[in-house]
Amino acid sequence: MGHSFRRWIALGSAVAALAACHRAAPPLTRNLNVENKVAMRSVSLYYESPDLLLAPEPRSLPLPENPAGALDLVVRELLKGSVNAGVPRLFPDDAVLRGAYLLPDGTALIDLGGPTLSQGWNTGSHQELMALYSLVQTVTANFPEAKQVRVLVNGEPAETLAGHISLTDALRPNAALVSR
Amino acid sequence: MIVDLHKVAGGGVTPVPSIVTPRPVQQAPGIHTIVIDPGHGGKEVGAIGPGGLMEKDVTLQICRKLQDALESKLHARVILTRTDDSIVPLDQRTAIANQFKADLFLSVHMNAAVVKGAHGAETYFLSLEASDELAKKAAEVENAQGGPTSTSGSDLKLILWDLAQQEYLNESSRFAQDIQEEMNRITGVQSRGVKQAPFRVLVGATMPAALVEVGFITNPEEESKLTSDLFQKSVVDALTTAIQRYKTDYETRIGTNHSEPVEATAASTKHGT
Repeated sequence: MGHSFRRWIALGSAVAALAACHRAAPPLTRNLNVENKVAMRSVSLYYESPDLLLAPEPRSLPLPENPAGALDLVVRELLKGSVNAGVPRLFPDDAVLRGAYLLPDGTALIDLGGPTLSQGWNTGSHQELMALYSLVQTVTANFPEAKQVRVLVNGEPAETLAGHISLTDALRPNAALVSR
Repeated sequence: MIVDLHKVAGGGVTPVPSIVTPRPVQQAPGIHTIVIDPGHGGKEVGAIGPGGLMEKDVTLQICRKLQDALESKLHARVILTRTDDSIVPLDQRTAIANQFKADLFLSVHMNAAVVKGAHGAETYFLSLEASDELAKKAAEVENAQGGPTSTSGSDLKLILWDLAQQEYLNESSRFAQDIQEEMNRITGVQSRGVKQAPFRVLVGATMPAALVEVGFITNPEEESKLTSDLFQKSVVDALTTAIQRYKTDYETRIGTNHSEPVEATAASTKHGT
């Protein structure tokens, strides 16, 4: 009798467990912004000022709370250029962001692409410095988790973008390139 | 002279100038061999001015003249990393300097900016961060070879490498300062100072090394000056004097120079128009 009773208890528990699994799932939230906690957030995008140094340009963007998700959006916005007509673009016009990732060690991995960067960008060291460090400054200023930026081209490590600044290792912020 | 052909990454072959006669064994320490690096080359044209002037052409013109001036005035052995419109990989440029046991390395470039009106000369030496990364990589390679002995050996090597790199950086800073001071004396050239940055071409140099941006090729006025023989001569004179100053200062500090210090060029040096 004891054995049968235990068997019935086990069977009953199994049935109860199955029933719980098939309980109706909560309805999907229609507003993904709520799911991702997207809200308008203030960021600073860095572009070159007339004194040939990087200066912040404030921008409000709809960004998720998760920094890994926000990083991609902020870098894409940076590459679009300044909203001020007089502020020139630093990266080539056809430069694109292929991906942006935040690694646990504090490295932001930024994968760039586009015809000019793929075939070889013909420019001088100042413009190359300004472009790269506008990226470094923007990322590190807006994401405290990011301490340095590693740039790839088309998913691969690259020597340089335009023959000057080494991309072999991650770049850290350089205060000497930023307007005070 | 025998020209050696060395295979470079990618399967291409770039002739590397090679001098069969070895360096005199009895030569006292000092600045005897100088490697001058004309920036870019081949399909890597560098920056392009509004009038179509290409950075790679101007750097080669200036560096050829600089080679002549240094050989004549300093009686130094001067090697160019390229003598024609060839592509030379960045790592190969410092490899050439290291191969010839150069005492000094100078890379010559023309600058570019998107901001209108950018002008002037600036000189760079390698940022410590870049040399630190090189030291870490050297240690990683050592550690990867395994064993507690190699770890302690690699720690020592790391320390020694660090010390050597720090010394090169100190000397590179002095060298860059001399370059910039002489460039500042060329009338009409604005000083943008001495800076540090992780320039690929300076990584791996085992001697004092600097990179000079002579002017902004993207500035129409400076582009025009850069095509002038007179302006190019004033740049060559400035760089020659800077190298001579550094040589004298360095050899005085290490006790192998007994000549008078070199006077800086007069402030009345004119630029070409």
